[in-house]
Amino acid sequence: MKEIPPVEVSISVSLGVAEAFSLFTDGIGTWWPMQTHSVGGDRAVDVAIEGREGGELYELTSAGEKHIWGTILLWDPPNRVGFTWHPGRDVDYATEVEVTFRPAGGMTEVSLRHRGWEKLREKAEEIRANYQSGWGDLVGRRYREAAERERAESA
Amino acid sequence: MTYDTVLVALADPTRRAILELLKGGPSAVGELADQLPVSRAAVSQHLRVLKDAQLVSETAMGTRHIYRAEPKGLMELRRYLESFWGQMLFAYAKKADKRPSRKFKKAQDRRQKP
Repeated sequence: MKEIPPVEVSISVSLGVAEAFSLFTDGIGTWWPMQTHSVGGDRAVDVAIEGREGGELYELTSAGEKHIWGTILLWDPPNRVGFTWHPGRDVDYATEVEVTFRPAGGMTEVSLRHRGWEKLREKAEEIRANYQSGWGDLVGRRYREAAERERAESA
Repeated sequence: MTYDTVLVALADPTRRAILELLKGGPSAVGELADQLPVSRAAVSQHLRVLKDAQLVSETAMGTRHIYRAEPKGLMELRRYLESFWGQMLFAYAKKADKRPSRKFKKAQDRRQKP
């Protein structure tokens, strides 16, 4: 199968490298827009990263459910963190995300690379396009579910 | 990358005001300064940042420099914000901006002193 190019985005923040890394990882629950970007949607109450290789990246809901989004593959503070990525999907369909933190003129450049789309086989292009369009697969799923609920209620 | 420069450029309210004015049509520095509560020198400085972000372009007409709004920079930003990870990194950066590091804050304070 032909290789599908990774999705790459970056941003600079006015924090030191260590602070930027810590906010991204330990502080993920403080900035991740979990109401719109999670499996539980408005029932999501926390997102967390366990800071060690083999640790989990997961979401908790108000109902006490735990949705695992991925496993930490690379824990190299404050420079790099890498994890598998399969929120709302079976682990067999995990893609990979790596985030690097580099000093850049008194700021920190945070670069994210999302690859391994080949694993999604025939669905790869569609799901990758979802990520690129911003809906994300999670949101697309949530939207479909909500739409289905609405349909069921009005029936 | 471009969108990063664009985000920084648009973070400032005066620069957003300048861009709004330029959307109404091309202008010289003096004309912009007349409509804003800042000096001509400040407007020039802001225009340079907007130009780096490809949000405005500059043409020289004799001794006059005319600035106009360029949609290219905004399109870059839009593409970024429409992507899933672009949205996530933007949310992350917004949080980061709320707690600038001590080192950075000091540098900022120094810059803001007249």
